Amino acid sequence: MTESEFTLSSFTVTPDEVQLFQFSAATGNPHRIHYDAPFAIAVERHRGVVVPGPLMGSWMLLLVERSLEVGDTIRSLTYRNLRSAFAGETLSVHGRTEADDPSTIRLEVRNASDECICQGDAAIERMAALRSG
Amino acid sequence: MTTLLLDGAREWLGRSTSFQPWDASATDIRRFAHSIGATDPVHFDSDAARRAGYPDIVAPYAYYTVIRHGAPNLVALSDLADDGVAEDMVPPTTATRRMAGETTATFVRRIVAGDKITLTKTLSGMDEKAGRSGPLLLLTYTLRYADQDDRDVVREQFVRIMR
Repeated sequence: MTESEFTLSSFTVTPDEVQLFQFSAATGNPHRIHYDAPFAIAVERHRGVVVPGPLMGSWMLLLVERSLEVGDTIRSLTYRNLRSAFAGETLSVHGRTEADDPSTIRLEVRNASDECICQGDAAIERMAALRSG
Repeated sequence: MTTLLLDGAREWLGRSTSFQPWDASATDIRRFAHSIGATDPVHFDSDAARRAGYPDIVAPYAYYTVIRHGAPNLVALSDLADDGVAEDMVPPTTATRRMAGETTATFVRRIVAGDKITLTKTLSGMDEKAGRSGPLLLLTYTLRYADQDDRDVVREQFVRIMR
């Protein structure tokens, strides 16, 4: 990380089975790997209840939104899941932007072993840039 | 390379479905905001949202995922597969397990309480490639989320990986 980069204030989350149930319910997602541990482990060979990809995307968007100045908006988010995460794991959500490209935020969700499990890029429309442009 | 696609699968390319309009109610937005751990009062309280310049409670950016999962899975319970999910525009294939691949969402405007959002989903891509543990089928969907005035609210491209 160089001095030209600006790092967003990261946060950690420990999604437990209660949160994953609430998220599956709120998103109307009946996929059993996200709430049914015996099914996730015995049938689909996961290590536990799987954290849904869209929940990681939701955390990325929360991190970005908390960093915005009044009037800034998120134009887009692209993200890809690299590894699975499971209920009970502590995960951290990180973002950084480079000085020469303040409209792009590079995002990562990392697990307790410091492996990147989800990687993304958000495009921001900056009010300040619009005013000066 | 062995194909995962069965006869007639290619004909599915370009198929499109629109779902019943989704009521983005204040309660639905609050419930989603709660589930992702959001705490900003603009997602929970109309007065706070109005003070921040929104016409009513504003949805977190990620709220569109409620419609993406909720609408296609709202079928008869007997039509949900053993893994819990609806078939949801998967062409005939021998692959049985599904994972989420890359997704790109473009936000045109914020969703606020009272919006009625219609999702139109198109199967826009079908590719096969060799994965580390066998062949993979990559299905690309183009999703349009339009409001009550038929204006785009969110546009999304989503890749489903099947094996």
